[in-house]
Amino acid sequence: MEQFIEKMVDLLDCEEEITMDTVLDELDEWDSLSFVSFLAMANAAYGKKVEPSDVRNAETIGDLYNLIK
Amino acid sequence: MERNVRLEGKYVIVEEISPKYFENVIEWRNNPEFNKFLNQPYKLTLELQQKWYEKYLKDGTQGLFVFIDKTNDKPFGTLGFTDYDDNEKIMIEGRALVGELEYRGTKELTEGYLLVNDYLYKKYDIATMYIHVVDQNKKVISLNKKWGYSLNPNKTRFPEELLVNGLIQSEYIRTRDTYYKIREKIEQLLNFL
Repeated sequence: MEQFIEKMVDLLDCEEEITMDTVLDELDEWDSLSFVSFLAMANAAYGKKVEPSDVRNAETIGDLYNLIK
Repeated sequence: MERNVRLEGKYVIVEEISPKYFENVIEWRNNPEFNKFLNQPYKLTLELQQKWYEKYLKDGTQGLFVFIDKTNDKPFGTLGFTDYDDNEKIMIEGRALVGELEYRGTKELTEGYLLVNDYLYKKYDIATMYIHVVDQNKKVISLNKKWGYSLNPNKTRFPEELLVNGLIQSEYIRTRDTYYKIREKIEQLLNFL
């Protein structure tokens, strides 16, 4: 889980602290390229082919984690 | 100047604006969810769009491209440019609009942006691309940063863009070198999708 958070911090390139409860829409850095980067990371780092629609339905960092665990 | 540009990628086709896309563009540009940061303080009608197009056809300093999903021929957004200056080799990138929500964050959209920028940097031999973003639009500022744009550290090139329809904007730039470095990273992302 910690490793996932680290990867997300890197992916988002954000300075503020993020946790599993962080709401994606409240993050300025959660944009369409972060979205694509997440899909790529899910595949490359976790071997998961995540559907864009599932990512669109995710509300928090924790929801994203649930897509790859 | 070319007016029938057509670019083809693995997932998306990019075509220059033409009357067959007017209905889509009008719908997207009139959607209050999408147009709150656009430079369009009026409702777009077919008549206005047609008049704009007639001028567009004679104006080599601007372009507007439509993204089309290759799998289902569905148009889903636009990207374009204005203020092309052949002496300075600069232009303003803009008219970015994702009119169909399900295409946000997709490989189709990402590839579309790459195709257009590849074309513009090469065809027009662009040295520096400019964009102007409303200061409140934090997500787009973040997105453009990821695409290689940074605040213009020099004298503002397009001061008339800093206040548009009562909205304060800032000017960002991206050189050709920066674009190609970023491009490499983004293309790698697409390879994992």
